[in-house]
Amino acid sequence: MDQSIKATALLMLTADQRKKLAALARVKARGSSLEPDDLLQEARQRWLKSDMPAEGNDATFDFLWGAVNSIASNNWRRQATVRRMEGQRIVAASAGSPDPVETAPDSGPSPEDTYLREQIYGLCEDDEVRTLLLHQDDGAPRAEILSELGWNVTKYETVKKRMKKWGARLFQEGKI
Amino acid sequence: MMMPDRESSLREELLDEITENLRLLKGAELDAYLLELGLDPDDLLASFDDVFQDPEIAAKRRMFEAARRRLQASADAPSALIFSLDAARKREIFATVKKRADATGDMTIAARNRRIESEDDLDSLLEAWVRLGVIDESGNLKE
Repeated sequence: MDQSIKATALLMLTADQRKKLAALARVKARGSSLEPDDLLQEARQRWLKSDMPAEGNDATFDFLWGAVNSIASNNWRRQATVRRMEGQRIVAASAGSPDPVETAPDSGPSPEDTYLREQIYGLCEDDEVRTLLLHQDDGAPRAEILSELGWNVTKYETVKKRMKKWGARLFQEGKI
Repeated sequence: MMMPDRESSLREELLDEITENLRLLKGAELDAYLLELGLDPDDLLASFDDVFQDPEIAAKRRMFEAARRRLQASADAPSALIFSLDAARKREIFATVKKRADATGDMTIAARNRRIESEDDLDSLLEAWVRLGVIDESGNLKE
């Protein structure tokens, strides 16, 4: 596809769409080995090289949004795997075995979850959110929480939604 | 050995919530949310443009933004049409209004005696007359 058409399509992105993409890149780069500009640059390259027709700013935006997510996700997964497998990788390389990074499963729950729950608990004065955080910190699965608290699924999701709103504050404070 | 399926970590859930909000919000609400995240909207725009603009695109975007601003201005300003008239037509309108003002005395002395030293002066006077209802956007006298 003509690259100038694809490049021109980038001009049609609105200010809101450009802000959203730049913000997404910063959110996705947080805590990773990538810089936000790397994510945007790679997404731009994918757009220019893709066969996706330039059909309007919404389609262009959707493509770039998906590209930033995909690049960040791939990087994050690989980075986490490399961290876990680094020691085995050295052994495998000397023994001529397959690279463990390529065959390793995804990791389990993040150890920082407890820290984040503590942070939200300290900020939040919503009793239901605090109750949920305490139960989650005990490792209780959803079914058990519902049973113990007498909540239905809708109530559980509503409280969880209120809890997740604190993510913006934690992001702003550099805690996630 | 494969690990069992698991739910997303809290960190992932919090970041997903942020990205979902980013995707849904618009305009002033988006800007407010960005500030809540500690992200400056203008800084985001600048960083996006730094990455996405090569010189050709930058020039095109400036033209595009200028056109968009002109369109917005024309929608906001009732007198925008008056500016698009040619200089001779503007002077003709000026003369017509002044002649009527001299005849009827229904305009302030300051307006009647206004010195016109440039086309900008003429534009601002014509705009004022449109806003005062002396003439319409095409420069025709109103009754």
